[in-house]
Amino acid sequence: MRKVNAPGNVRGTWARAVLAGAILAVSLGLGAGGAKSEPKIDITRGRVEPLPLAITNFVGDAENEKQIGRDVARVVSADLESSGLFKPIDPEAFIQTLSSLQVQPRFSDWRVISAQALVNGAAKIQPDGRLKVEFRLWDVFAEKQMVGLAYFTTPQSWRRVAHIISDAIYKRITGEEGYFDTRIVYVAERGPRLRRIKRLAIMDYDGENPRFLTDDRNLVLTPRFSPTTQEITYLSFVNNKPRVYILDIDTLQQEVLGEFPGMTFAPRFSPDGNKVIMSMATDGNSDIYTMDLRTRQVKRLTNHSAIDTAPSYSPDAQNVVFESDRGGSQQLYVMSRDGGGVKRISFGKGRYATPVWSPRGDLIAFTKLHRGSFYIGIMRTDGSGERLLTESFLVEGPTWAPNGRVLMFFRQTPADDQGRGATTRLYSIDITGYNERELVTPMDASDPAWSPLIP
Amino acid sequence: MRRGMIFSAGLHIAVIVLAVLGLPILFDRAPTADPPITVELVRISDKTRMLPAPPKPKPKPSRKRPVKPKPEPVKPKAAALPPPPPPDLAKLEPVPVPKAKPKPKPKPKPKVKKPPPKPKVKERKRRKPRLAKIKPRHKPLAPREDFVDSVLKDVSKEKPREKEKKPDKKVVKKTEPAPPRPRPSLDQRLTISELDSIRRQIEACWSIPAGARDAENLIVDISVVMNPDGTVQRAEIVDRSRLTSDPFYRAAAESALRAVLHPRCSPLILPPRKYQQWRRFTLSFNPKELIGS
Repeated sequence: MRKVNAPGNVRGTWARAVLAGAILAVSLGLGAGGAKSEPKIDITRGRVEPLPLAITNFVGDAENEKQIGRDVARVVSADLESSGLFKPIDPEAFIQTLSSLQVQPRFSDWRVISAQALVNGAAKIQPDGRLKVEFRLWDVFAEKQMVGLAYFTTPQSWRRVAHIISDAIYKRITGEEGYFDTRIVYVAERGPRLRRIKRLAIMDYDGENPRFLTDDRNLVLTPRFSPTTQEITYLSFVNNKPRVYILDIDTLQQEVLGEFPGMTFAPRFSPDGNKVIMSMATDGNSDIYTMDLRTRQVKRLTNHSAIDTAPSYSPDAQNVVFESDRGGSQQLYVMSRDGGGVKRISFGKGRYATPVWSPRGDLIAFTKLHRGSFYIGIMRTDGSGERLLTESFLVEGPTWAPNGRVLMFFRQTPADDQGRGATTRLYSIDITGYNERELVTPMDASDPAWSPLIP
Repeated sequence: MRRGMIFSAGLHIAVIVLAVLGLPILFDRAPTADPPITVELVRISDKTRMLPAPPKPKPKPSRKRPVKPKPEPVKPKAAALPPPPPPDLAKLEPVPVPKAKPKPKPKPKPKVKKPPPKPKVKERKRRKPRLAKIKPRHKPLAPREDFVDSVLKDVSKEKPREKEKKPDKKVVKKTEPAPPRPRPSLDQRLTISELDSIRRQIEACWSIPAGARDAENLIVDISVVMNPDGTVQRAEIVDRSRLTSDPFYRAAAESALRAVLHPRCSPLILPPRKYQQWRRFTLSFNPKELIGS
């Protein structure tokens, strides 16, 4: 009996084990299958197309409020369109009326016209005479408000409010700071080539409110904005002696930056605005110096028989990028803020010049000359990932938007055989290499310098 | 006895024959039950490039359909929204208000503007009409290209070509690892080209956050629940915790969500009989190949 029973028991335990195993396997299998059967798909490509958004006229009660509302909407629309990241939809296509929009957007009406975002707002003159401008940004697909803000200002400042609103919309959608509430300083040029008159001029980001900062007596070059204040540093040939100056663009007060034995040039502010870094040439050799604007203390950073120039600080002020021909040809180098640890970063063909560290810190913009063509390019701060954004007979002088997303530069077109028709114009380009646009100026313009966001 | 021998031999032979022929058949059930396996020798990219045509009819149903499922979750929001905005504004007013302080600054500006002109008044007057004409602000230079493969332009000509090639290779590579999870029966599984078709459709709706800082590291997973008609029932950003802490991630995540909810991608073209396979899926938006180099 035992013998007979024993195998039976064994079989029973086996069967139970198999059954348990099977149940376990099935349950595991189902569990795993349930999780894994949900496919995961990698989306690794996409389109680069501007986001279609609808910007309605801001409403108002009185006629002047309505006019401001229309103007603000127009400027916001132009700002966002110019970034290349947004495509404002023609208001003719709008379905929902402005009055009903103030209550609540009918998102289906906006989806029909392919709007992905919607901006509406209102302008109201307050009893105390101030202007209140409010706006709301809506996500049409998600059917929710993304941001809503109100601003108070003087009615004359409606244009600045419009730029500030553009910045707020840009920031909410892209995650990055905007750059519309900024100004551009540049060298305005006119006259024949040999007797060229060059003056400093300033304008809003969108070309409005242009004015001169200096008179036409002295030639000026290379204006650079302070990252923190409304000051610029530049090179001026007062009495035919090239020296670095500082100019307050609100008071128009200018001062020469120290008395140096040699010619000083290629100035640039430190990120905190307290120092100027520049080149000084003595006995035919130029090296890099810094000057503390408060203590007037001068410090020498490089001491090399080669030409070291065009220094630019990293935004954390720990490093400086500059150009030098110490390796035989003009290349870009990075050194620490005290002049140590010099390291070459550019290794491509051709010559590299005027490096500028991005305010974002991730890239360095430069001018490159190769086989008779000029390029504006960017590379990572270790010199990798070099990308040339634009090429021309002459392109030079890159300057960064405060968000490190857009570059401005100038381009010169060659003269004809009689030496006429040469033009110098300002252009902006996205760091993706697309959306190149001309910035229209009253006369020839070169050497742009982009301001930080106006405080 | 002899009969018994013959019977025994016959039985043995029968058992051996059965063992040789019958047993393998008993154990080898596969051949009879094997479902047909679809083998496709088409180039995936060619096959799935049929997309541009279908989108046209799509938008119409999309407008009607998505509305049906959506109102439920949306209505509460919509209802909730009108009240929040005003408080939102009210709350935020304090923020702009400090900004209103700088605005008084513009007042000094006009003052500043006046002094400088004095010495230059004559020139200014001459230029004013010119300036007035110059209202056009930024002149677009060239029409924008609608490109998919290379997001970052490089003027030097060799590089873009390399970049164009890369994605194709990688797409193929990436799709290969997908199949080896044959959980449901083989013909019920989504094929490579069906997965690739979803990919293609969504890619056509995704605006890449090109140029953003560290954009190559902004990988966003969106979990999607579909309706049988190919419209999106629900789409959610998987990592919601980063939304509030990282504005770049939020921007990237919202751009991914917009792609999923884009009318051009609704309804998605999917094999209806495999609804259970594509009812839920996760889309991983990864711009690395396009932006990182």
